[in-house]
Amino acid sequence: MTDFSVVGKPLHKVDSLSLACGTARYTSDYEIHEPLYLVFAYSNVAHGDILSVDDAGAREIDGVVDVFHSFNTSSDLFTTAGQGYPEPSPYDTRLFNKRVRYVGEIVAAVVAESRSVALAAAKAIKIEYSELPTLFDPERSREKDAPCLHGEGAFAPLPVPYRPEENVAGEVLFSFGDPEKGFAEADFIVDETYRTHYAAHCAMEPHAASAFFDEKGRLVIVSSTQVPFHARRTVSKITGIPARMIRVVKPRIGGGFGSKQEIILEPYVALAAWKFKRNVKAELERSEVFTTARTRHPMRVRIRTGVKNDGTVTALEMDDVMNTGAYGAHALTVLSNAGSKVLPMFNKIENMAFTGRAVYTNLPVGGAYRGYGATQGYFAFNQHMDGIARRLGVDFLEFVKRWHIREGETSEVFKAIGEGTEGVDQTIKSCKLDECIDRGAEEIGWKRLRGKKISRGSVVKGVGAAISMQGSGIPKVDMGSASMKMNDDGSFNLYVGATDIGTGSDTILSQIAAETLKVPLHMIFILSSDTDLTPFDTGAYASSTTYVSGQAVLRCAQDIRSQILSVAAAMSGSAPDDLALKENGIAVNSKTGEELPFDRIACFSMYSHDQFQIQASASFTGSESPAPFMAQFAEVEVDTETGRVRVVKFVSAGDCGRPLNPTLVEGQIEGATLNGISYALTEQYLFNSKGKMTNASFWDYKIFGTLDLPVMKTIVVDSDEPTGPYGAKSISEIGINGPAPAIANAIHDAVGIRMNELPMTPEKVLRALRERGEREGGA
Amino acid sequence: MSTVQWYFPETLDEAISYLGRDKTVIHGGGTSLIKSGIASFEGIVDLSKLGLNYLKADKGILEIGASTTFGEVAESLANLHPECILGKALGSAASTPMRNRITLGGSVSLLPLWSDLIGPMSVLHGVICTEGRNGGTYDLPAWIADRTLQRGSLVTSLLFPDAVDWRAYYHRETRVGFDYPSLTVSVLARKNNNTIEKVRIAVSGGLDRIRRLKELEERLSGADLSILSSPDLRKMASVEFGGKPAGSPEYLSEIAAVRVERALKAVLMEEES
Amino acid sequence: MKGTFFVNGRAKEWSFVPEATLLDVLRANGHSEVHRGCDEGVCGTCSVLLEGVLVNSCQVFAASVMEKEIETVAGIGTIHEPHPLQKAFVESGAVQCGFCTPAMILAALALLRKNPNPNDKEILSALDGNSCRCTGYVKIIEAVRLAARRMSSHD
Repeated sequence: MTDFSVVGKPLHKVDSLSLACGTARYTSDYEIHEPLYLVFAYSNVAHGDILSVDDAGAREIDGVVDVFHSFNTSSDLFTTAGQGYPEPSPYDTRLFNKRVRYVGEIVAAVVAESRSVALAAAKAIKIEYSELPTLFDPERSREKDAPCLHGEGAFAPLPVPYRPEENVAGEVLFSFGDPEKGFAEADFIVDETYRTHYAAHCAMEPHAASAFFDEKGRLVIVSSTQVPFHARRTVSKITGIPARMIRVVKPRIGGGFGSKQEIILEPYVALAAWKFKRNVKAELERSEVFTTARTRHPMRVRIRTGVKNDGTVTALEMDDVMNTGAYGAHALTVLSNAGSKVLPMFNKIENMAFTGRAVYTNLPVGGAYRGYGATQGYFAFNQHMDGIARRLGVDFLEFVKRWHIREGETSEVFKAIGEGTEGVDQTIKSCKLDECIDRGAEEIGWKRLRGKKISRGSVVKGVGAAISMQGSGIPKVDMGSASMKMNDDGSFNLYVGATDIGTGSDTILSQIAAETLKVPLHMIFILSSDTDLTPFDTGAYASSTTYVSGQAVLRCAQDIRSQILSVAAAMSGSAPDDLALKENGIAVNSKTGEELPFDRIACFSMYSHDQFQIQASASFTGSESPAPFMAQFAEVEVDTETGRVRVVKFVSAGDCGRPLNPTLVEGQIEGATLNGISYALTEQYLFNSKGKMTNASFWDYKIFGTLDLPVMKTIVVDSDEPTGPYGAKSISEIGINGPAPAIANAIHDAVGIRMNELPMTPEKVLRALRERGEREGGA
Repeated sequence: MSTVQWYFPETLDEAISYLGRDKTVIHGGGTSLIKSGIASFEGIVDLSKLGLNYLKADKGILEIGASTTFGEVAESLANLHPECILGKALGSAASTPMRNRITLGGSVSLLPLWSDLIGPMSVLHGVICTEGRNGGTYDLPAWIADRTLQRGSLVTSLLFPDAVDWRAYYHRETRVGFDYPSLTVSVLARKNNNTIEKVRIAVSGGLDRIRRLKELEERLSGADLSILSSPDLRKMASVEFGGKPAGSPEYLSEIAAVRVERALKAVLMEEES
Repeated sequence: MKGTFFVNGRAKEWSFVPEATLLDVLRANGHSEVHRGCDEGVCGTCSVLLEGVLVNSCQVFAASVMEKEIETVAGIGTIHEPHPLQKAFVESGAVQCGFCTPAMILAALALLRKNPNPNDKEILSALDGNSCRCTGYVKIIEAVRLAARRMSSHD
């Protein structure tokens, strides 16, 4: 293992201090000169046509500047999904749809001199609807008499399956081998259906966007976005404002987790700003973030598996119905990931089929959410396999070790399922899943607890596990780039399009550059995500930043290194091959021993002879998407009289290649894990019979706080991905996949019930215990 | 834009005089007005200058000023009477910053379904002292029965005449740690060796907001501790609930009974902690 | 209406509407380090110290706290001379997106001023009204422990 001096070290995040001192600015902190405030009015009807919008009362209020709605503002169809162009999501929405499709849909935007006036005006808008029959059950979306939610012109810009007449927003079908033959050969077949639920990201910073004019009259958009470049392109397409007149700047972002991989506020803010040539601010209230921003797609996953008594899995079929809500942002791609990230895990199964459909309903819109389909798929997969292992009488962990994909292996699934485009074949080059399993099992006390049902009164202990893999960027699609220049003091400016949303990408990208140039971290100054000043990057999603953007930075820094060495060679009258870099920014001549510090080299290149600016740029797109791997374990206590499940301890053991910054890697795992735990147990969207979310508030949408914490242990195993920058793979999403299935498997270990539906609330657990008791004759 | 007027009276008489006005409301420092908004009022009477922030404990009698916050009560009682149910309840309500603003007066004026004050008040037989138009001393049932008592008057203090020397147990049923309770169980007991001398049990959050389980109390008073293993215990702890985000009426009813049984066992059979 | 507030040791005279919250008034007057996460008293990102006591500024009427001492995170340390808590948060990796961080630090400070050597249970309790979605709280607790050790060894 090579010794690195910057990479692999737990260095402080370059922005931590400014965040801890309150000097860093989020979108709403930017002082905007005399802004107009933009506020939305929403549909209170789940499905209906707008007959009229009476904005007279709103316009009369002193301070109201304009009211935009479907009768005075037209737009082409688009998708709000922040994805590469053309997007794999259908173009099925306009700025203001004449037909509304869920409670919480934007129906008007008020612009006024103050926020309170705008809010009052929004309340004064009167809208008349002609209500249409509603569709809330995704499993009924394709029935003949189901209402059709989309039709007038909605289309998919890419040649992907899209059948709005059947309410199908996306479809993925693939198979290999001969599943029916495989089932025929099985000794037993397990057929189970699992259901995952709506969830909100709950980033602490609500969505916000501001648009203001610079001194040249160009529009600058500051937005809480994960996708500044996609935002610029999309805003231009929707509003008609020429893209060259738009600059998008990403400020500090207060969390995203996928909720801000979406272009929601920016087009409205830009439209209003451009019309009045005034600055405009918008901020969503927390309740609006719940209903009107994006969510995790609920999914019904049915897995049917053929198994021989010797443990051979002869066939596996996965059939997913995914509720994409009223609009299809991320529909196809999240659905794809439920198969593409899950099915390769047991790559030795010779007969496999995946059938997936994303369907429209009159409910809140699904979007990108950490895990992106894999979370839903793994909830089903891990419970399914846990059940099969039990039936075979083998330990779940041993069963997993027998079947999982290994270094040097591939899976037909990689080629078969892409994300709107073709899948990409790849071979696993780093996989330390076995070590993750072994070390995690040791830490949780697997042998001590598994199957022992240790109890105290009515409380029974259990332990469960879950495994998962994810990806590192979308291969052959996601592109990141970087440029660097050297300053005359020997420091460097690094410009990346990559979007730090709190993850620490600014830091690890700087670490890559610093390591390559053998300088301490503080000699790199990074500027990221400004469409004027930095090169392109797809943005913070698909776990792409470390692997894809990181490779761009690596190549850029390598180019800089060669330039430095050639200048040093010229200075010392040698060939570049005689020069090498030493620690702390020094080039040393191996023949003469002469040392040339970077500041002298820079000055020479700028001022002395054959002057030029030492600078470089590089881009990278992955030709594969190396998977991080994780084994996660939960020790739970189930109170059999109340149904309450307490997670006593949770262990996450992960392989992310070489951790470029162990502290940041742990932080990603810990945050994702706790999010996954409360997703499994306490988070839920409650709807009334009219499709309105009734708990759009932190008072009733419950996430874990400090009083709820299990003991959490994080294990990062040593690994090395040969195709990754300094051996790194991604880590940011995968941690959220394991908690729900690990907890479900632990509950089963404790009390023998299968919780096939999320969330596993006390009432549901108690009911399942009762039903089991009744089945077993009142035990 | 509202034109609501803030008043900062320095005497009780001044405060009460403002309350007589139309569309005028009290602000004790708590958080309920923020939620409901003040734009529709004409006057807000801020109580911070009235000196109603105090806690006196004398010979087991607790007198607490209406402007005292939950946090202050919890902290004082943790020092003076750590076993007192009032301190336990208020110290676990809401969150640290919320406890630093929620006042006893504000809480008793509203007595929301999720109140953490109502259970302890019920079992401690706490009384509410008010000044003004309907000024007087009210026990909890009377206070709840007639909401008009508050009009034109000001809660000045809460009095707990028999606050100490009880074994106490408080449970709040929540989804996560920082949450309003879907129900609470308050139990006070005194025992003599293996005989239960006296017990008071209150369940809040049900359809009747607060319910003393009088039948169960009578059954347990004077009984031997072995009665706590009786399967009838839960049946006698039956309380009806409405549906809430935390659970259905049936579930909440069942849980309440389980919690009452556990509370009784904890308070009567476990060692003093 | 107009009122004077003592913010981070400085007297400030500010105009505000009668229904304004302390959060509204602070953010309208340049204190962007106090954040608005939910406006409902749950997320805690708006927390400040009011006469040394931790409160959700979104749940406090500005009118009811005139003439009072208010501390925000900007008052306890600067980027050039950070407070030990700010340093501890940085060193422990307790800062990811940072949106909860200013309020978390104040909650920890309120605790350490009263209880310089808190145990884990006391730390968790003191931070019970401050939500974080990025860190899982693990490194935040470590940061508070670290700061407590350092701050008490300086006494």
